[in-house]
Amino acid sequence: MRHSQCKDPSERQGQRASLSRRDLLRLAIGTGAATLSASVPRLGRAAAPSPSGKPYAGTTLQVLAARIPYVDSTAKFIGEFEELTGIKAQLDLYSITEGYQKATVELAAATGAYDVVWAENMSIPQYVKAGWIEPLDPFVNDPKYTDLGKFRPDEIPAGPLNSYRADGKLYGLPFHAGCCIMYYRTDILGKQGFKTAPDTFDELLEVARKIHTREVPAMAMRGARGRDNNMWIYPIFFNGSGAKYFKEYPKDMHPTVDSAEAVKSVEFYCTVAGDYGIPNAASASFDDIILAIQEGKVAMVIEGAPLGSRILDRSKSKFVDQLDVALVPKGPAGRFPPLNAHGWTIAKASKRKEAAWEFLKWSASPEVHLKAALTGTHVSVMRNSVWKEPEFLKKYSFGGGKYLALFAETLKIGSPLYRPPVPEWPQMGERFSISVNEALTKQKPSAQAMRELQGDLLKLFKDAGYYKA
Amino acid sequence: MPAHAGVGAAEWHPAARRSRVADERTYAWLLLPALLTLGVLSLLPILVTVWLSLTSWNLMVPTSGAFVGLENYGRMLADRYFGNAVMITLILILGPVALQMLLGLGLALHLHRDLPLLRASRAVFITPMVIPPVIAGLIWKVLLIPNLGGVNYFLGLVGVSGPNWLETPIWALIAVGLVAVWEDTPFVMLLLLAALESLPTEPFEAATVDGASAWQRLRYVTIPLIMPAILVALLFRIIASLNIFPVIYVMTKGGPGRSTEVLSYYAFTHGFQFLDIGYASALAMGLFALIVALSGLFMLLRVRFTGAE
Repeated sequence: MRHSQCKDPSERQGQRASLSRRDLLRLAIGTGAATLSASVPRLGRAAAPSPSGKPYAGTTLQVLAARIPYVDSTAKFIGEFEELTGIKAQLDLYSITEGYQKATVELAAATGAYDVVWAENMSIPQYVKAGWIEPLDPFVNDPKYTDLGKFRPDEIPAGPLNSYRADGKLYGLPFHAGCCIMYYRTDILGKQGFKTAPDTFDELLEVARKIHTREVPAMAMRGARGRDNNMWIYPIFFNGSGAKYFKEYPKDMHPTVDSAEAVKSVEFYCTVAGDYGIPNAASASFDDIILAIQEGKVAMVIEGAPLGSRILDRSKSKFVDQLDVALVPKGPAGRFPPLNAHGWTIAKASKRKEAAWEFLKWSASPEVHLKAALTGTHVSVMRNSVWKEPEFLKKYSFGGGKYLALFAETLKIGSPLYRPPVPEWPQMGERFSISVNEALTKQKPSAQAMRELQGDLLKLFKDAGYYKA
Repeated sequence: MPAHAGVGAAEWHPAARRSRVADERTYAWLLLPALLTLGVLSLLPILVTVWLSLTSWNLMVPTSGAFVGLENYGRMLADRYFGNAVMITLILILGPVALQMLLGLGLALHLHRDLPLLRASRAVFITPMVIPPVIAGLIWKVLLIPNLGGVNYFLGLVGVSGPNWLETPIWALIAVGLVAVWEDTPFVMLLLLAALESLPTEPFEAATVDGASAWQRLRYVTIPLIMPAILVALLFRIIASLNIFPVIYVMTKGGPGRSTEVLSYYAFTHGFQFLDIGYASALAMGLFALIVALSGLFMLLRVRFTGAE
């Protein structure tokens, strides 16, 4: 500090101010540097191979995950993976919607910030087209990485596994498959003489007409706008009526959503979900459906089989003893239960792909699926052997085993083409859901809604380059 | 002696002036971090959005991102759903904001009365304001379920048959608007209450002595005196009402159909669901232009009512 030799008090003040500025600048630079270093994102570290049986010991993997029962359960014992392999897996958990947004941004940025990324099967075409994820076949088929005798890919249910294939390659491993079944009140149907649930569309309409009352409507299905809302349920009727999304998928991608079958399927859906449905049908998501059946405010619902853990929960549901389950009804073209899957993929930009594959293998093991099922509410196990485990059967024993049997059968017959696996599905699904919602709320006649949808989809796929006219 | 000699003479002394300049530089350095932060957090994203709106960037297409000039804006103007979104946005601004101003003024006038019970209950009126919009949307979505929520039940007690709130375009718009009114009226009330409590008493006493009725005092004394506060509240509400996005996201997702699809939600679907960043950025700039237009209108109103420039 300089000696003060000022002639005037104000000069001395100026000097003190000058010194303060220098100190201030030093402080600012120091603070800025500290802030920058603290905000550098954590990056997984790749370790040199260990001489022990844990070749990737010391590696840290970053895993982006959505909150699904399987993930919630395995997060509790993720430390076992580290004990087994020496690899530390850091889970970042998000809701499904936020997880999708986070995953697409991170994968597009290609920074390698995440090694393992959760993905729904419907996102795979989009991710593959964008070149964001790594094909898994080189890991599956190379004995250096996988002992096929132990891994047993044939043990994973075929429908969900195949929904992670694109261009003939495997891009992900499913850890959860969602499908839908019908939950219905045996007492309400019984009063009108129906001993079983309706099995066909015509039977569904007949039952709905007879049992519907203002106090307890006949049917509840997701009707809210959104590709994961009404477009999760409505395709049961679209596909079952014989309607097609395209002229000849994947060779001729001209949409055909304004066909007579498609319009009829919308009309049918609107009749059952609207005229014989709950009052808030057009804004109902799965929470509203579950609430309605738990409170006894509806006679039949079509909802996710994995959600049976909530619908059939005695502590939350008032009429569990009067509930039974059935397959979703079939139409003239067949039975098309909804099917989707959630699984793990490896980011293309990851610098720790081999270690990431170790995580995928561990996650897909029967032991992990069984433990997740027993310690949480993960009923949708992706290992056929676990479906036969006595402890698993005991825990999810609703209906004397009927619930699990239906769940398993639905997984078998569920088609990966239930909704079109195209990269443009986000736009197509959202636009489709708007038209169906407009018809359900009677804003437009079904034919007009589907005609307008057809026009928009024609433009969408033309702009995407599938055809010129 | 210089003309400015006297009490302030020391201020004009060269040494004092140097000291003042040094002080101002110190203030500038102290403000610099905050200005930089604001610039990075506010100005930079706007500039980046402008740039992105001039490109064809789609996250799904790695090779996209070419400069396309005003192509996205041309697409926007030709997009009939953009026009729908602008119209819905204006409806969900003008209606709720008008109600918020009226109710807020009414509540402020009531709470301004010197009654202990009213003063003690002010906190109750502020409660909706502190609830996050997402939570408010969730609460009201459940309350508005026709056969399970509370609203139709209580309407039924007074002989009114409640509608299917979120099932038809008109009632969905009204429901979303009412949630916005419930949430944001306390803000207007607080601002106007503060203005009322800072008013001098003399004009009111004079008006009373002159025989003015309560309505005349309100119209000719109170409202002109608090007009600056009214206009500030109006400006804040207009700009903030464009953030109705969380309520719509939770309650209706833009439905039924597109009847509550405001411009911010439309831009969100294009950006975060369809990954069409270029077009979503153009839509965001469209929203920005709407804010600027409404703010400009507000400035005109301000000149008209206060004479300030």
